[in-house]
Amino acid sequence: MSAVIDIRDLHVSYRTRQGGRKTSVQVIDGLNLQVEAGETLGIVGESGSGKSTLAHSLVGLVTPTAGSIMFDGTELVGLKGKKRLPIQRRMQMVFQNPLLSLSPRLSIGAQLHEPLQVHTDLTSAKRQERIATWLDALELSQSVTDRYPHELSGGQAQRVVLARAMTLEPEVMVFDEPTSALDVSVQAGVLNLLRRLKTEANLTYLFITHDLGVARHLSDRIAVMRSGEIVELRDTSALFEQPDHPYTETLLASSLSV
Amino acid sequence: MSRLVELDDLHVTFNLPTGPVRAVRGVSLHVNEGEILGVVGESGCGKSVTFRAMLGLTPSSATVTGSLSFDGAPSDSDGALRSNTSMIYQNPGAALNPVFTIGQQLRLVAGTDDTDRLAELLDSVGLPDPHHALGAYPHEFSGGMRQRAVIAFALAQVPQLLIADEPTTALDVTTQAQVLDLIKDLQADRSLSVVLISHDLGVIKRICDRVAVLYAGRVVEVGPTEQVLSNPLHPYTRALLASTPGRDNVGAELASIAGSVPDGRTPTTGCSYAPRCQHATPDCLSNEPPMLRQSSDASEPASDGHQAACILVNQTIAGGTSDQEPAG
Repeated sequence: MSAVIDIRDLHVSYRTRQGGRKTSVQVIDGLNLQVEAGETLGIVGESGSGKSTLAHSLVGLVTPTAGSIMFDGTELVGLKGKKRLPIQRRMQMVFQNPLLSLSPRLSIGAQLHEPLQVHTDLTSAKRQERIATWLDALELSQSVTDRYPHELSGGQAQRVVLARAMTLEPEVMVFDEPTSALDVSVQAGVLNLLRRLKTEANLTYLFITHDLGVARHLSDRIAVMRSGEIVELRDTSALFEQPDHPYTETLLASSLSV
Repeated sequence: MSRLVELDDLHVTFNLPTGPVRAVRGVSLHVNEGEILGVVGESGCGKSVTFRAMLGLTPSSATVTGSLSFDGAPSDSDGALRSNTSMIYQNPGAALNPVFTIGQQLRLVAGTDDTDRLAELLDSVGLPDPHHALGAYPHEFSGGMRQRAVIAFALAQVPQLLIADEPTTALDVTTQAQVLDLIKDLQADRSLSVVLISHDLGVIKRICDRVAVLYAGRVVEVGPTEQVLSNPLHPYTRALLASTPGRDNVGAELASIAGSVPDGRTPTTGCSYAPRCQHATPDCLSNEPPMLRQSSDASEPASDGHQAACILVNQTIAGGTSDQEPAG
């Protein structure tokens, strides 16, 4: 296995004001991380640990202040606009709240076509075909394309967002708490789908969650983040059986399993 | 153990322009003195509405029927129950006024100007440096500290009953564990009765003595937490447990529940879980099942024993893990 994503000495800071004075907050502080092709890497940590910022800097939603992110041999830091477009197709992201990822004013069909219009030169019929395949794979009815986001349940909306990402045939999927807004029985269905998709489409997953149960269920390896750093990164079973870092121990002890 | 609150056959219907929505359909529950009752269910099952209706917090357009007794005497939502009950909510930020200090707000709730007494209240919920905290504004507090402050507000009135509606859902796991332990300690110290509403069975397991499982506006299973979680009688409870990722199903396919929760607009006959239940018989679809106990259960019928609203309670059926169909 080789690293599909290689992050070296990444720094991200946000500008803010404190007492009227401009200052900056270091959110990611010298982070190193290699993601192997084909693995599911879980990233856990509490709010403010920088896990979402890490995901955002991968897909280009924030600009790192320093460091390097190599994706399959291409440097992503500083890569912008048209040059970034091909990379964006290959690395898709799914967020916590599907209704914030969908436009309330466009039909689901229109929203499924748009990324394909941007990233591919498929004809309308070919696009339709690919969309239909993925709706099937995600157990959505074809008639969902005529509907609007508010007509969908949370689980359906999240599967539409997943279908939209999958139509682009990405290599890496970045998930930021994709099931946190769902009820547990619906979450179970989405997690099962994610596992199946990964094997079928030969994907690499970066899975951010605050839920250790979900992380354990899905991940091959887990990185524990705290204050912008990875404090521990190990195989899932090893991490749960024998945590090395005291913070991991605290996290595990606080997690409430049934 | 005597019963502090007894709720019998509560119905809540929201009269919307699009037609009536039956959110709670005959909930009967009781809370014993000095116990923590967990109420668990998925979104829309009526868990919050039940207790809001009990406190008279439903909108005036809603129709509420049922009977309620508090401390042995019949009560309505404006009476003894309301003046002896405090409620805390999921988002402590929304419960606090951002333009007044914690001290100014606590003074109003506690009805005293005695700074030492106010500081003592904050101290009792484990806020560090309580005198300083009185002068702080809500935004200066972390989420966990805000929830502690809100709990102090709730205790200021010296309630007999504390209703906590998803009190830790907005908190990080380490903070969540601390706040739950705080609720447990306060309950023990003050012999409070607590109702803990949560969607999370892990939260329920940590501190609740008994648990009631709600589905589509009805109680489908109730009993001592340990028994309900280790030997669930209702197929819905079993499916809920099997769909939770945990130690037992690492790497395995999770059981999701096929279909979706009935929406309360369409009147149903029979068991409301029957359309999604793989064990359903024709009988299930026609008759609403009563609460039943296992025949091997020798405890008093009127006690706090384990019971479920399922006619299959006394039959051996496969575990929830076989509910392996995708959710709708």
